[in-house]
Amino acid sequence: MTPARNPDPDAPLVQRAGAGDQAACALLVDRWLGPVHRVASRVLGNTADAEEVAQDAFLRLWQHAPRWKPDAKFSTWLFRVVHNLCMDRIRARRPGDDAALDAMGDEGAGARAVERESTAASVREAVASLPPRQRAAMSLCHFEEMGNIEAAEVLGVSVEALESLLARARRTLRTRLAALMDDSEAPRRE
Amino acid sequence: MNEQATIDRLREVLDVHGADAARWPRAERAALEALVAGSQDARAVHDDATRLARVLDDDALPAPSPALRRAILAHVPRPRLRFADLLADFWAALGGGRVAAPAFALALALGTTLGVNADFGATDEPDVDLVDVAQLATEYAEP
Repeated sequence: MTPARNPDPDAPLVQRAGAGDQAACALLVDRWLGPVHRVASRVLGNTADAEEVAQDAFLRLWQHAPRWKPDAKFSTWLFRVVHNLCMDRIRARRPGDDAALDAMGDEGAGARAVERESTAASVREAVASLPPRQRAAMSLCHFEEMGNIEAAEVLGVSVEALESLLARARRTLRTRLAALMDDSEAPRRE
Repeated sequence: MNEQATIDRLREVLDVHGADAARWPRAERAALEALVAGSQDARAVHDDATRLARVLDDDALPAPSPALRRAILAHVPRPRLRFADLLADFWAALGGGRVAAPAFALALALGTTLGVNADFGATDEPDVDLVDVAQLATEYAEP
């Protein structure tokens, strides 16, 4: 016997949003704006573009919500929209244009904050140096902890193709971040 | 299967799924965890993956701004008002069937009665002043 599919926790909210329930819309934004913004920031390499993608994605949600049918999980649909919007922007960039890696971190006071920001900047640079689909795969699977099957659906690839993207991305990042990894403490074992 | 072959498999799993064993393929998880626990070389490979994960997690992006949230919510479509709903609200404001219907009926009856019986001095004769104006009958001195 196959197990019953877990009901999508967002489906009732999306249906309410489609019926004009403003509170449901606000809840959807509160739940998903953070992850959407993070994925877009990492794939595009800057927060200005990420904010525009986030606005576009939610605009499409408001347009689509009245017709929402729970054929796909809402998060899969949403991140597929985000991914496509990001890829459109990347394709529109001229070859040789550097994705402006603006200061995406908090400006904290103190040496510890500066050190943290320096590490974060190195990580961002390393992730930004990956090809776009590897960036997208890492953003979804590592940073947002999405399952591989769902991430493959978002990217429109097979699970095998997604796993290949992840493997190549991690191998590249291990090389580029080797110095930071050496500084990192060895994991404790219980 | 010798240990090196299994460590190679561990490396592949770590590259694809990362250091968190909860994300490893269920069918292989127990065997790989046992390998990590029992082999120094396997532990070194696993530690390497854990360090990478920690370094990546050092990049904590700031939360989106409140202004972005407001901008997104500003574009939420307002529920469309249907004409039938407006009419229903208007009718209810007038008191509904109990009050508004008799009031309208009375107004209609009064208006009809007054209109039929009132004398406003209307005649069939043309208004002489109006005709003069229409025909520009006023005489002006020649320049």
